[in-house]
Amino acid sequence: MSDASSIDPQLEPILPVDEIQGNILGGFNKDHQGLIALSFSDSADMNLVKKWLRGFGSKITPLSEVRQFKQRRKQMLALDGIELLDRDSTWKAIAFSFRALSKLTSDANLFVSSSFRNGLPASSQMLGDSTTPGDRGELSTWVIGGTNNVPDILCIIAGDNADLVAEDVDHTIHSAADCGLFSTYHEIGHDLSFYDKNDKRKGHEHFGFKDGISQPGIRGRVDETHFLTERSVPPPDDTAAPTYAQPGQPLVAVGSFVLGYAKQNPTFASQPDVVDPLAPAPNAVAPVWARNGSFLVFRRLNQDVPAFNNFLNDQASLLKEQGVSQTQLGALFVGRWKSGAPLARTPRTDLPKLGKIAPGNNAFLYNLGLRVQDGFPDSTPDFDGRRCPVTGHIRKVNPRDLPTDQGGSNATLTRRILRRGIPFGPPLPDGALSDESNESRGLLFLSYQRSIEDGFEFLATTWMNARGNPQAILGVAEGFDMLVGANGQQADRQRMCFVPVGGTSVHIPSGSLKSADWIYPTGGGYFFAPSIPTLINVIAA
Amino acid sequence: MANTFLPPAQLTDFDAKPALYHAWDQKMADMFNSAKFDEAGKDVRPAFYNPLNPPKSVSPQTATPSWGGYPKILTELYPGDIITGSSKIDSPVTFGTLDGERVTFEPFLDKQGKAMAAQRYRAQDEYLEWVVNRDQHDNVNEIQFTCEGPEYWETIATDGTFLQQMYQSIVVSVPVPVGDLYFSEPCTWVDRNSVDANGKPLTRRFVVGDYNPFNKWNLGWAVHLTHPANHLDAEVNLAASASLRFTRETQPVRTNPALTCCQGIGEPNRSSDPNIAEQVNIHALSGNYVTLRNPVGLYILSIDATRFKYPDGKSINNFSRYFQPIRMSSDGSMIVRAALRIPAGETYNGSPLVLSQLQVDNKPIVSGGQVAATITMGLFAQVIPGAPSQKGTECSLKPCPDPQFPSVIVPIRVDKPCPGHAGLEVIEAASAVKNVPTLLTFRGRHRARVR
Repeated sequence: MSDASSIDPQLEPILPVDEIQGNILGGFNKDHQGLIALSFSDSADMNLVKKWLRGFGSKITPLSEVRQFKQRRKQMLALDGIELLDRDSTWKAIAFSFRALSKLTSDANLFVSSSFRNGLPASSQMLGDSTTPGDRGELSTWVIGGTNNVPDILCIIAGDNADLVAEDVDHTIHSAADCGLFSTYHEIGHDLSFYDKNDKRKGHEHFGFKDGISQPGIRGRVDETHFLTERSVPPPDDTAAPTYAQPGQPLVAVGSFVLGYAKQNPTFASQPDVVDPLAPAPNAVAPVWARNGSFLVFRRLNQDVPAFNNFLNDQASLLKEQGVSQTQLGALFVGRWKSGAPLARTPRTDLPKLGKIAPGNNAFLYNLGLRVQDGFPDSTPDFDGRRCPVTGHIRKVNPRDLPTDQGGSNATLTRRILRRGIPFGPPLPDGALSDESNESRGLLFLSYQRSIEDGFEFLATTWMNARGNPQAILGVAEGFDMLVGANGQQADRQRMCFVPVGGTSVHIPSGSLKSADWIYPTGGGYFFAPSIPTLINVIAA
Repeated sequence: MANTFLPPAQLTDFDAKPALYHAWDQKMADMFNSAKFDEAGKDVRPAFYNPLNPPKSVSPQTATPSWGGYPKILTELYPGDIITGSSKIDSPVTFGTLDGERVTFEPFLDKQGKAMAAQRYRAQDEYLEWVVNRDQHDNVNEIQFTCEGPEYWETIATDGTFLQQMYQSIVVSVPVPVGDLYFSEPCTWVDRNSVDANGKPLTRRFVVGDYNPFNKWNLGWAVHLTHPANHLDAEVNLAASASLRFTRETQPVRTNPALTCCQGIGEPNRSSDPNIAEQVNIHALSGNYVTLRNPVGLYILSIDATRFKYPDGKSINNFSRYFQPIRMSSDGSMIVRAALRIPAGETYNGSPLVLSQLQVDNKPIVSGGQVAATITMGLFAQVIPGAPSQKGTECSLKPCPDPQFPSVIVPIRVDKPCPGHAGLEVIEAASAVKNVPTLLTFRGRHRARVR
């Protein structure tokens, strides 16, 4: 337990843990998560819709419950080495589109976010998605959220028991239908270990890489004396410097993720910034009832596993003389080995044990390096990306202590988002070069943030999809995020990057084949996840 | 390798006046010399070098610090509202008045010492400036962008006829009287971005016949940069200053906001300067020599076409027909002037297409700042390994948060406390402008005055 009693309440506010949805700041992090997209027609009986919302709203899992469970699980793991599971209940979350809030409330027009108001389809092109009708990733091909298929409500049902989650998803769809809400999409994502009971897959995504390791620490307290995110690193003397919860895990203002609190200061990292005003304050960004809510981005991202593996094989064969393996090339694209071990700490060989241990697998910095003393190699200064390429996915979206196109290194903290995704579809064997199953697979990407524009959209457009940002050395260390990035600027959508190989840099083109977009969207939406009281007393009232 | 300094983007304007190549070379050489050596000729920036005279004959690496063209300070002052922010800076402002970035520069004074209203500049401080042109219905129909340093045009201005020709090549529609391009009366200006050898702000005196970088044709056609801190000289000095090892009470100062504030090596509230400073400093502290690549310049690197759409939300497949680089290197990698406009006669769905109908980030274009936000700026820095280690230079300034805008930086002398809510300690405001709330400005090449 940490002593949080003498802390600046603006910087570390006491959070209403019974009001904030648990998935936002706590993260369900369950092995089975169902998504349900619901819509209602213009002629729907709003009283019935609201009745259903009150019912579902009473079951939303608050932050307090998620936190308590996770604390118990942590204690049990520490004491007995047993992972606590709750096979008897599910956790729930909900979020609404702008259209839905406009129908259900009188003042949704006070949301100023144009991305939220216009919805994901309006941003699709900007995100680099193909705009050629019928191409992979293009809106008309989406299973949800594409052309004329934008849902009003997104429900998330998560649990440790796959059958119970499935049952609850079915029940939710039927109960909603009884009240005029029709389901336009539902899908249950599972941790990949579910499919073949292979624990080695646990926490990994379809390309085989361990996912979800790096999440920001969140400032704020759950009561007078306890922080939401526990801390093991003493705060810095200089309040302009970031504060770390764990080595490599900086603390970010809760206002970066939930409305109504001081935002992350882009300059003085350990001091509060201003609060985005809520109505009726001047220049309000949202209605007053948006407090304790968060914007939710959902992207259903298909992963073409054979295309990715074949590409790695082809490129690795070209780099055979330099001794680059397919495995290593994949790690260079990601910034981590498949085990999760970061290249910043072990650039030449995978250290699976390091990949498993927290916080060691996240304990690194690119500019200054970081001494950890956990028995594994330290990260050393790596500004020019000789260890972890500047184009590596984890470095593109989180440049940590590097200066960027946004200014000084502290500015990167304002771009952090809370990722809550889970894979969907059955996995292929590791390294598979073909797929006879014809099943789709990928990631149900979910992220919470204060601003869609400053969070998810910024990361995609300004960093992942840009050749020169957040950092570049011409002909040596520059390029796109080859894993998730897209190049919507050119008709052939070709991407490229440089990776460090044996003391030099190698140019890698993605190729202009459509399959070179090995991660491409097939659905999604922009939503707002309100606080539980807002859901009950405003939206469903 | 060139043995002279080349014009920015390797522009070939001087082919018509070859003597100006030499003048430019000399100007840049002076710039690098004054950045590296003090008045006694001592090398005070040992890790910084003249790109024509590298310390070692090895191929340098080229780093490209980049930044967005929309001023970062506006994202702090008007968070999430780029249209309001843009509206504050789209039009030129008069020296001596509060600008859209909440900065007041000294007014130009005539020979009677009275403030002159005629001298204006663009309050666009990320080394990218623009001019918005509107039609008779006040709809935006063209946005011109420039990132050409004023020094280049000062060189051109040594030949009045040539200067007039150059302006006329940009201002095509109206005759440009050459007299408009030069000061027609004497005036003085206290440039508080620059200090003399005694640490006093430089008082610049202009006489009749001196080139006037703030002339109305430049302000109307975005010929070159006008913001008092948007100079190539500032770029060179920023890189040179950032190559030093800085300390505070013997502890290393390597990151922002402290680094940029430490010795006033740049404007800490920009995206550009802190990024440039921190990147240069990282290279220098890693044992490298650093410099700026010849030709030295500030460049438009790219514009994000995916953020633009037609009025009905459909994608624009050939955006290059609208965003047109006008002055650039032959390979297009270094753009110094560009325009966003619709070709004459173009229609969309049967109606004439107006630029203001295009959408950027799903909103119609109503200001230049919206487009600037889609532009990536950059410069080219070069790095050679093998620089000697340096002793630390102690910081004289530290960053403090502005009491009203807590993400905005106010540099304060290290021996003074940060200002509280009771009173903001800032660089002295323009003497002619009393009682104006002025955020500290801390721009350009030299030390700022602080209390």
